[in-house]
Amino acid sequence: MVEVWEAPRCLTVVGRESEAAPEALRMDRALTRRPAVDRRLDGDRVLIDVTGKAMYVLNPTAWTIWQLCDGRHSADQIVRELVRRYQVEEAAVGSECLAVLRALEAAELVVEVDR
Amino acid sequence: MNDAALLQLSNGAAATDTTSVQAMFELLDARVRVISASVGLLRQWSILYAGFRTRPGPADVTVVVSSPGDAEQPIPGEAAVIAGEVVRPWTGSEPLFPPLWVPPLDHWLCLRGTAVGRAGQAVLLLSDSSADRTLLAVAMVARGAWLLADELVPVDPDDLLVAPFPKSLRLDREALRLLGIDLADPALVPFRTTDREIEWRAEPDALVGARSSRVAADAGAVVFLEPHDRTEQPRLVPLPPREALTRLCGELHRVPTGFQTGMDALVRLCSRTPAYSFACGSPGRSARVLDEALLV
Repeated sequence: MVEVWEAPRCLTVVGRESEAAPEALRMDRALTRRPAVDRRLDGDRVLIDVTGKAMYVLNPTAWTIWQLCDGRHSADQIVRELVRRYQVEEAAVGSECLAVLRALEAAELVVEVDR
Repeated sequence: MNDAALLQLSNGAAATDTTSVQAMFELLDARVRVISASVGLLRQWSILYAGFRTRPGPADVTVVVSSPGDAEQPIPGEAAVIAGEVVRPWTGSEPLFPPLWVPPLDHWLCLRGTAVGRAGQAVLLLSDSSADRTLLAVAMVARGAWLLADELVPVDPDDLLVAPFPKSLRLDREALRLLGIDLADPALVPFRTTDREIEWRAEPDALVGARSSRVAADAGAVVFLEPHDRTEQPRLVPLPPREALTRLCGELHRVPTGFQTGMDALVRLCSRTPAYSFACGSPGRSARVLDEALLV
């Protein structure tokens, strides 16, 4: 069954006390999640970053992106996986997916790792 | 004043101290003793928090003000809060009283707003403008609702109950006229604002009598008040939970000390409690719309 594509959104509800300036996202490096508490809110998911005292709301598509940051997928591979799952054009999902990945990286919820 | 001297004061040595005054308050299940060298400061807190005054006894928290005189504002560095054996100097980054930043008071989620209720259900009216929300709350009380809290709405993060917080109400001349309250009402105490205007303070019990509730209520609805022309029709618009969560965080009096517990509670509150944006019209019409839609 094909999932319905909705533009991914990562909404900052409470910002980190010290926002680090994000480095440019490297497309070929694997991404992994930092520990965060997650909760359901209606159809969305809430990430509570206890260490950074921050909170974010992710819509279902952004939540999929977050789940794909599993230490095995790079940004390039995540975009391709979204294209496969949602059966949409890469041109349609690429920039929106990268915007969410940059937001997650800036929030220090996602970091690049060596595979 | 050093830590040892502060602890000695909190342990009762101040009973023989003729240079300071004292009062006891019961706030949100905590007993707070204030020992103040400033008579003016204690007088002001006693007016604002008259509904919280209680008989003397052992204190969970002690607020000590060492600055003398009749100044009505505390001076950072000249006050401290003692909770248990821990003395915390007051730096001015948060209000000194009530000391919501020390345990056990820091357990509460405090929102900027007003709460009214009926039959165990509370409606939280949240906004930056205290004048509008107090006016609306009193108009709702005039229709039969109970007044639960004003200025600060404390929510228990465990069971999401809204606690009563009967701080004195601040009303201006227009509010009293709209509400049909005579300026000579015995519940009213006039004072001059920093803008040299005259306004009135009223203890909720004295102004609304039995409609001032001292019983916690379940959060039945959250309403974010929008600035609006009073001549227009009031409009109540449902908000999706994600937007409600964002706006609730914006109305937090302070980020909770137990961050995860506090944020968890806000997420639960938004999951189960309907939230609305409300463009107010006149206080009477607005009160009727909210009362009929959310309380009756």
